[in-house]
Amino acid sequence: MRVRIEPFDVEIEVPAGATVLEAALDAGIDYPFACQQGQCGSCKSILIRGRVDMGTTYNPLVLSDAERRRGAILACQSHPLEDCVVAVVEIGGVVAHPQRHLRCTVESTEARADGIAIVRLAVHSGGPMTFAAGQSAELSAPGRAPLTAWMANLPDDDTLEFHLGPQAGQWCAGMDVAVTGPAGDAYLHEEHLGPMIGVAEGVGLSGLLGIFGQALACGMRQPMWLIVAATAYCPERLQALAAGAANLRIVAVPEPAHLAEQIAATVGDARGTRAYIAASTATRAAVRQSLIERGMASDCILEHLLPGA
Amino acid sequence: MMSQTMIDNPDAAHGRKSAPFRMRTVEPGPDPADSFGLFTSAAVYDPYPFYARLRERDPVHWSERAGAWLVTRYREVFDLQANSELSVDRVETLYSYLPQVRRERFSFVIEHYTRWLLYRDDAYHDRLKLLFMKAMTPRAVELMKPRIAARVAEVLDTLAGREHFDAYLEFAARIPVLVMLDLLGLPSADEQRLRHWSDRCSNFLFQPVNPDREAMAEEQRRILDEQQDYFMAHITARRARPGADMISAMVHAEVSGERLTDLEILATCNMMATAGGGTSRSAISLALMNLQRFPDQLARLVAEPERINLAAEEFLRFDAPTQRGIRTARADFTLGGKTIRRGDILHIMIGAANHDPAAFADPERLDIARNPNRHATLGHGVHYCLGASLARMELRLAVAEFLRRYPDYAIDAPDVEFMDRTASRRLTGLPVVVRQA
Repeated sequence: MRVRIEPFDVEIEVPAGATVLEAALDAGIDYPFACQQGQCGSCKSILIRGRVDMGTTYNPLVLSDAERRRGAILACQSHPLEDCVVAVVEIGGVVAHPQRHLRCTVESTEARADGIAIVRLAVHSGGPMTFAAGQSAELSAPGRAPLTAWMANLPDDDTLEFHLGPQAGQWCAGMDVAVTGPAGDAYLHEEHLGPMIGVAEGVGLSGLLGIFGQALACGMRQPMWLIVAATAYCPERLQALAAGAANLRIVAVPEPAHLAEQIAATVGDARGTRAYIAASTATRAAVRQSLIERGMASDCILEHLLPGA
Repeated sequence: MMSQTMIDNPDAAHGRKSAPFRMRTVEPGPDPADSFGLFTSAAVYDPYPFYARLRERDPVHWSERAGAWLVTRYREVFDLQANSELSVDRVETLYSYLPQVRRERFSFVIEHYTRWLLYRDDAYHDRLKLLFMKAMTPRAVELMKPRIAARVAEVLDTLAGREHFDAYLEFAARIPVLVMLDLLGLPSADEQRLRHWSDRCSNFLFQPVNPDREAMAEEQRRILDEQQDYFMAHITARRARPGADMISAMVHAEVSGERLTDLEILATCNMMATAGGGTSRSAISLALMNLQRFPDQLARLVAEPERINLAAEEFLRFDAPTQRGIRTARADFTLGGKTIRRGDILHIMIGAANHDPAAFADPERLDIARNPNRHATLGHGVHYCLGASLARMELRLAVAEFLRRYPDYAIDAPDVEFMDRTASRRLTGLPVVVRQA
């Protein structure tokens, strides 16, 4: 069978009985791998086209049924049943989920405080889209300027959820929306061993709901702080996130201007901590300075640019 | 066997009169009942001729001396490594390492090693294993790359200005310890302490050819006491103020809703230092030694440093730091025409499989471009080497930077010596002469 490996842009022959990983390594491709027997998840990839036989002996802790439904495979377990296209999702330590162009319909919208709307989209075609928690996508609808927003849902969820600010205009159930993505490099680092801090302003919270939700879902148990400003728009989501997560502390401040000082009060020593900031330019600068003053390495600060800010 | 690999390399010694580096030729013994001499100092020095004889004459061989089956063909080794029906539980084997007299005096030593992930079969710590996998994925290790590269440079900087140094003791042996200190979040000042523990624990686990069991058990008692004093303080500190390190991650990890105990965390720290330290230092130093036996391959890698990734796989194949994996059969089965009984111990002879001509063309030749190269060194399946990605990264970075700085290094001794054990390959030293920039 012929298997095209993206984004290496090569096509290989996978002999009968061989796995995609074996054939790729034999072809000299620097495919990520470790155990070669479905136990570690290092070679997790996306099957973009075609069918593979994965058998049943892999470790379900490293590839969930939900992930499989979204097209994830373990290359070391995959025997192609026909010609396939496979995408490696990590190259040189950076995630590289394949780009998707989805046709969606607005399933529901909820108007919330501060002119913010929570919009859920059902995917009709082009999917499923795989992404790392904290990534964004571009939304476009007829007669509107395209806008960028973060996925607030977890990567395994079937419905896409976005939190849109007042500048995004009105969104109604039944509207057709084109979604292109994923994009962005401020995604969750599941391999990070130290504490995590999230700082959000306004709809910036949406990306952090994805990041912290996924972190807890995948078993990260280190201390986590989520410091949020002006987020009266979805208190129930914060409560749901905190429920049952003894390692997560959520602190709300009334104004974005208070975020930096709240960091000073909450986080004494930020060495070894990784930060995810989703806020306006002015707020990000102050927060960043506060974290660096507390010993955080600058390359441990991942920033989301708040749309419209 | 070694004749085609012997070299005279006068240029590399920079005009000094220097004896060329040669490995002695050794011959396996005649007696199958003695495993053709596998447990002799000649085989410690160069086990490959002994493996070849076993592979040809008795590929699934019962050794009275080891009390175990020695499996030497690639085909069977590969299958056994993937066989989750074999147990890695080594309690019985480890007990046999203790003194015969009042063995129970040292049972706490064995209890310590049964807390090591790599000797556990059951779901014990599936979550801990997942934590490990996450910390050791290719992506996580890629993110550690700048720090590892900095450690390699830092160690090589300390050798600047010296024409003679020991590339094992002063270079290869330091890198994995420093990397492990970074990974565990421990101070660099503790390098010697961690290295000593790692050396001595691997000596216990790999057992010298003629061990003094009483002295070794006493030493284990002392080390485990020292480790309690040392690690408990760090574990307590991380509980109060976690950092981005494995001790912090373990302190906060949950296994089926339960926290790891301090003794489990301590055991895991010791496992990381011992399993990760000893093997990587061997891989780096053996690569530098073996390149000297194949000057065409050395010249090629110096000229084309971008070949380091494939070259590293060949170093791992050619001289595996760990030469055998030990398993216990959980059921009766047939292997290579022999009946293996439940409870039998099998030695998966990794080094022998890696030199099986049925799997590798011209296996006694180091070929840095060998591809495919599905060696058995890091295992595969449920019990694959958890640190495989880290080991690869350390080996690639250390050898590449060493060759960049010292492309014309030469071994500054007529011969090399190995530590007195057959289950692993460890040099006692690798004196080199280099031309300083």
